[in-house]
Parts: sequence; C-alpha cells; structure tokens
Amino acid sequence: MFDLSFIKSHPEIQREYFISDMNFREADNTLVLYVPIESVVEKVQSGFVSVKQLEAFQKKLTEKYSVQTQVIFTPSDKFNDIAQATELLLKANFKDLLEEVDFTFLSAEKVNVWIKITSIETEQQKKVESFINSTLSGSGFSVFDFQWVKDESKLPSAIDILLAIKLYQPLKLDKFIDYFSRQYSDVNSKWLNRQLDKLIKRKLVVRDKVSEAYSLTGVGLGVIPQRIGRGSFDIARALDLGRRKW
Amino acid sequence: MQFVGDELEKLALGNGDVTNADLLGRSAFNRYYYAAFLKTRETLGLMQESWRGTAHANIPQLLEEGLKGPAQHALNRMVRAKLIDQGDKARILRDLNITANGLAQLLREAYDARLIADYQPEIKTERENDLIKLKSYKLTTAKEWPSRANQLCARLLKIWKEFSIV
Repeated sequence: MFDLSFIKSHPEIQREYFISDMNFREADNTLVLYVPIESVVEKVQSGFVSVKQLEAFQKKLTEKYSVQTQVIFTPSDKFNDIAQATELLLKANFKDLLEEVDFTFLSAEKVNVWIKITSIETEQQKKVESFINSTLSGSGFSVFDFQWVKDESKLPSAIDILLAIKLYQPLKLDKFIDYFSRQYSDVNSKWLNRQLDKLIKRKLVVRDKVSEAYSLTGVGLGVIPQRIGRGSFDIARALDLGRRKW
Repeated sequence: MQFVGDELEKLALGNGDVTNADLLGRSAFNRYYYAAFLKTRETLGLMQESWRGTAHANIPQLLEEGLKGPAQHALNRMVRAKLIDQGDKARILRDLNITANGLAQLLREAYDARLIADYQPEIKTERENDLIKLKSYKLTTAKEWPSRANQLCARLLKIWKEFSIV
C-alpha cells in the first residue's frame, strides 16, 4: 500500500502545490490529491499553482512510486455564489433573449459559459459576452469559453435527410414529410424543398424528373456515418425493400 | 437510483445512531454516482454501440480522448461534401471537447466519492447540521450529479447529432 506519510511529512510540498487533502485508493492503486479550485491558474504565477505544474508533479509521483495519480479540484462556495449572482444579472438585463445559462469554473481564471438563447444574432451575442466578461473579470476571471445553443431545433439535420433517402429511396416529397413529421414538428414542404435543392447542388442527391423522387449519389452515400450491427442502416434498407415486395 | 439516493439521505439525517447514519450516508453517495454513471453509459451507447459496455474507470478517458477521432472523421466527410465549412467543424469539435470534458470531470469526482464510500469505511462521513460530507464531497452536491449528468449527456447527444446518427 502506498504510504502517504512522505507527502504528509513534507508540508512544503503540500504548500507548493496547494494540496488541501490526499487519499490513496487501494481499490485502483490511485493517489488522489485534492486542490481547491480557487488556487489553480492557467499559467504560472505567484500565490497559485498552474495546471501544468500539477501535471508535472503527478508525473514525478507516478515515476517515483509506481502509482496512478489524480488531481481533484474541490469546488468553491464563493465561485458558486458568483455564478448565481451573474446569472441573475444576465436574466435581468437580457430577459427576452436568454433561456438558460450555466457556468463551469475550470480554474481561478477560466470559466466555461453555456448559454441557451431564443435566437442567435451576432450583435446580441457580443453584448452578452461583453457583459459576462466585465462582470466576471472583477472576480479574477479572464479566460472564457462560450458555448451558444439556440432553442431546440424542430427541423432535421442534413444527415437526417440523407439517411431518410438512404433508407427509403427513391423517396418523394410527400413521403419525406410523412417520415419527418413524427419527430420534427416544424418540417414543411417549402423548407424541405430548399434543403433538397442545396443537397442536389452539392451533388449528394439527384431528383428524377419523371417520378420526382429523390435518390442518393455515391458521394451522398459516402457522407452518411456507418452503423454496424443490429442498428445497421443497410439492414434497415433491406427490410424496407422486403416490405415493399411482400 | 436518484430516488433511492434521496431516501437514503433522509434516513441518514434522521438516524441518531452514528454508525447507521454513516452507512446510510455513504450508500447515498453510491446511488448518486450510479445514477450519473448509468446515464452516461447509456448516452455513449447511443453514440456508438461499441461504447455501450465501457467500464467505470475508462469512461472519463473515453470522453476526453475517445470521441475526437470518430467526430473528426465524420466532420471531415461533411466538409468535403460542403455540408459544413471549416468554421462549423471547429465550432462543433470545440463544443464536443468542452461538454465531454465537463462530463468526464463530474464522473471522476463522483467515482472518487463512490470508491471512498464503498472501499474505505475507515473514512467516516461527517455531519454539519443537515449536511453530510465524505472527505470534501457534500451529499447536497452529490444529489445533483444525476441531473447534471443528464444535462451534459443531452448536450453531448445534441452535438453528436450534428454529424452523426443517434
């Protein structure tokens, strides 16, 4: 069993790396070091420990003691309060735009901001980002990763359309609508026609002039991800052809 | 699992016997971990069938390193077919990376708490008023692991659907 006393008897090591606690898990031979997230920064600076410094320390420990190591950043109540306060301010200032916002603190400087909005307009996005930047920079945050999510799309993706053709080609527009209307409430023939025209321009799909049915080209077939096993699209296609014949 | 975790927490808080309260509290941590783990494993199985049976300890690494390859492959095909441009590809990969890393971090912490709860009975839970703690883990935070995992899994699936079939 790994003996923690070496690290415990060297408080300067714990201070250097801001280790608040440690544990050795015999179950998987892992030494776990707990570091408060408020002590962690992106680049080396006095009074903190950087992510890279911790990684280098872990490597030394693994080499010296033949154990796996893991660093767990313990959460900060202060950061949680900051997140809640910022969320309230955002909702007060951008009431009609914001649906949901979520903060994940990755260090004392870096925060991931996930934002769900009603519509994506560049100018509005910039205003929200600028607001978050100025609100959080006062608390020491300087590195932001923004993730923007629009309200749930009720329309199929290009891959969904190509897959529908692969499974049921040759496929006419009315059958398309039937197929998609079960999952996507906003699908209509005008929208679908536009998407199919785009796919024809990109030579992924062809439309038969007589039957007005759509089929995939070789290039279009190549774009669709493969699925092996019971969920295989080729099996689904074969079953559909069988159903039509029988 | 979430329900069982909640009930165990109530039992732990209401039990005056220190030993029993400790056993109930640590079981609650275990249930909350499993709720998060099972949701993640189910989601990974939807993304790629071969990921369905991924072992506990391997899930964080799969999330951090194993998704990039298949994602890049599929996105490169879409770029060549001009369905998306390089900017879209970069954005999708970035979002995938951030979301998967967030889920990996959550599972690492939850797994650590679960291993302590299950295999280190010498580390006792502590009680501060209505708060149960195990090492630095608060049961009130552990209670949120399943819903947080659900949230991150939903985001992961949404991103995955941009270039693959689920």
